[in-house]
Amino acid sequence: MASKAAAAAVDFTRIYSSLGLSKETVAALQAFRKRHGDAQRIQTQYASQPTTVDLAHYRSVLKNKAVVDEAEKILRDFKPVTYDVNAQIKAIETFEAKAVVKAKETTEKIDIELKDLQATLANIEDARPFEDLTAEEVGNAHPRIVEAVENMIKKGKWTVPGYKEKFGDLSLM
Amino acid sequence: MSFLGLRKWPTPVAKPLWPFIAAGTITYFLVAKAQDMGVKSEAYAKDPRNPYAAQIAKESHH
Amino acid sequence: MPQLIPFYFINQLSFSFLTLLALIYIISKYFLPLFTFQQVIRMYITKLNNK
Repeated sequence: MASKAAAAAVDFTRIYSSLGLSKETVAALQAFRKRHGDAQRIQTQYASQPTTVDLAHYRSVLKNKAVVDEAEKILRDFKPVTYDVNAQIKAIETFEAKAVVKAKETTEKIDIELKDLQATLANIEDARPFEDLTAEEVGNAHPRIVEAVENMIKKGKWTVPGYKEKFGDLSLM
Repeated sequence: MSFLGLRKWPTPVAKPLWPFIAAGTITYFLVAKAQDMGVKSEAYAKDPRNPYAAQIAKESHH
Repeated sequence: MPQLIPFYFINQLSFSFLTLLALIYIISKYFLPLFTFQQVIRMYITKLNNK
């Protein structure tokens, strides 16, 4: 399963440091990883232990052979309860596939967002200070102002009410 | 149409200027009359710089 | 004074009218509206700033 490989190849340190996740998410991720590591360790530990019982040894040591026979019988009859893990595995796999798809979608979304942010950043960096704005640029940014001025001039209104009070003028009269 | 890179604005020209244009026309005719009178007057009729000298001479012969 | 020689009255008047008309036209169509435009934009920007 390719997605599984992709998911397995997750570089956790990079996730912790570079994605800027919240503290809770990082903690949850770390806990999950620890649990997984513990389970793996315990599994290997138990797998290395022997699973057979040396009955001949008990037979030679113990005097009560009947007990040993009974034990052998019980042991032979014992069958480990088999759990049907296939269903669970299947559920996990579908969940995993879904998660991978979701993750891919999220990365795409984040990529788009990043591009947007970069454009905004470039805009901000290229922007000149407020004092350097020209009337033409403001007019280009807000064509409605130009329209308003055109209407004013058509009607012969050349002054803006309140302008003189605010900025004064240079006329001596 | 732009002029020196400046955009054109819809300023009304004929409407506020019509009295001045009318006055200008009247002035034009009055000045034309004054010129005519001056050209034909005693002081300038025989002036050698007068471009209308030939015309005036022709008219006075009639 | 050459201006007072009557032969050229109409010439002077024609050129002065033509020049004045051209100046009035160009200034009122291209230059004076810019002052109004600037005032409107100054008001607009300061209003934005005060908000």
